[in-house]
Amino acid sequence: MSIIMFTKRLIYCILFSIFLFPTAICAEKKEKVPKQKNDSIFRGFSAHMDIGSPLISYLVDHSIKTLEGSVDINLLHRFFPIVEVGYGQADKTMDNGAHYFGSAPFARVGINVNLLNQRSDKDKTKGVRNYAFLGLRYGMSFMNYTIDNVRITDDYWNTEEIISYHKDFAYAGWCEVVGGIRVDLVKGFTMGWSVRYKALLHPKANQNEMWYVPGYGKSGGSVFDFNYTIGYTFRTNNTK
Amino acid sequence: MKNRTLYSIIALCIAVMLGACSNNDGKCHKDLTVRMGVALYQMVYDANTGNFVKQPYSTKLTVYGVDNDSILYKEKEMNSFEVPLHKTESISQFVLKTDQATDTLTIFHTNTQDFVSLECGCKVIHSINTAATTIHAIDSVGVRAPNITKTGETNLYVYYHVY
Repeated sequence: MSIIMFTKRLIYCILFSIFLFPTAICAEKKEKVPKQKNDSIFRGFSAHMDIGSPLISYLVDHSIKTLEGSVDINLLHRFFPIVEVGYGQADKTMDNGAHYFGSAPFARVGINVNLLNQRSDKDKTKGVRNYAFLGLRYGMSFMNYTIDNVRITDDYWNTEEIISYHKDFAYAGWCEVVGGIRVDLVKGFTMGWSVRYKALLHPKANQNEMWYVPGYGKSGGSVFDFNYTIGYTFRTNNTK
Repeated sequence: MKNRTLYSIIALCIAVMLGACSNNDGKCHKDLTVRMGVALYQMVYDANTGNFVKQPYSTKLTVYGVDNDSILYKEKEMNSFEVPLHKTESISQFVLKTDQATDTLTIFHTNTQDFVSLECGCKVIHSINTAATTIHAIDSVGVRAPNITKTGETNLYVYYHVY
């Protein structure tokens, strides 16, 4: 119970910091400047690799391997449509001997919204360097999975049967609420982290059988996840 | 730059802790066996109405599976009991022994595997097709609820002779 309480507190802390971050920065930037005309909508794009998920998988659960990257485009320094693609695999043997293997590519599409009011900067054409964001995603994965060595043990009649399950192209769709920050490191290299709340919307298979959904996580319920990304941001000439 | 590095380290630590907390123990905490509920009755003649009425019947009973050494109930006074059906076969037989006589109860059933989770495996639920009995102390049997999906329900009536 104490671990659950601790986890809840951590989540509140993360969400609190996400909302405080823009407030603190906005407070410093009160100066109003006249709106500059002829802004282009497109301000650049970023390509990022997630190094947080593989690291967490390695440290916490060796049976799960995941790799993902993302590309987002900068529209008006405010909206960041994003596509995230990756590949996930689970190869797990439980204490009872049951073995699960599932692997599939996955994709998420959505948008991040910059929470900072950077359009009122003195030089508003300058590229956004650091920002906090909130976003939404729709994720999907077509997965194959196999469950074998599932033992049906009858303790009273002293019998045992071993069965297997296999499913091809099981579809899972889910939604995510994302909050995080993106900061400039040096010469266009950027990093960011995000916390995600995920809810499985429509698993088109027996949800009990889909132990792990690539891009979503363990399908037992809603999931909190974390991504830590590093990448490069290409900025249009007039925003460098 | 120093602050950014610090924030990054803190964020990673939080992530690892969250990941660790969400990892369950990999053990099953669910009961995967459903038991068939049996209620004992007698059909007693009611002189006032001129009809036979169903009355709960309590007797000292010993219950065990046929070809099974493990006794489920031993000389226990009861008017209902629960027994586990075969998970891997479609016929389950039980010996019901009273002070007066011994009967064999035979259940013909269909088994359905219901995958619960990777940790637990499968729960097997049953559907009673027919039930039969010898008629020494028992008069007849009747199926009340053929689908056995959980323990605690009455699935079968067993009617005893009136002595």
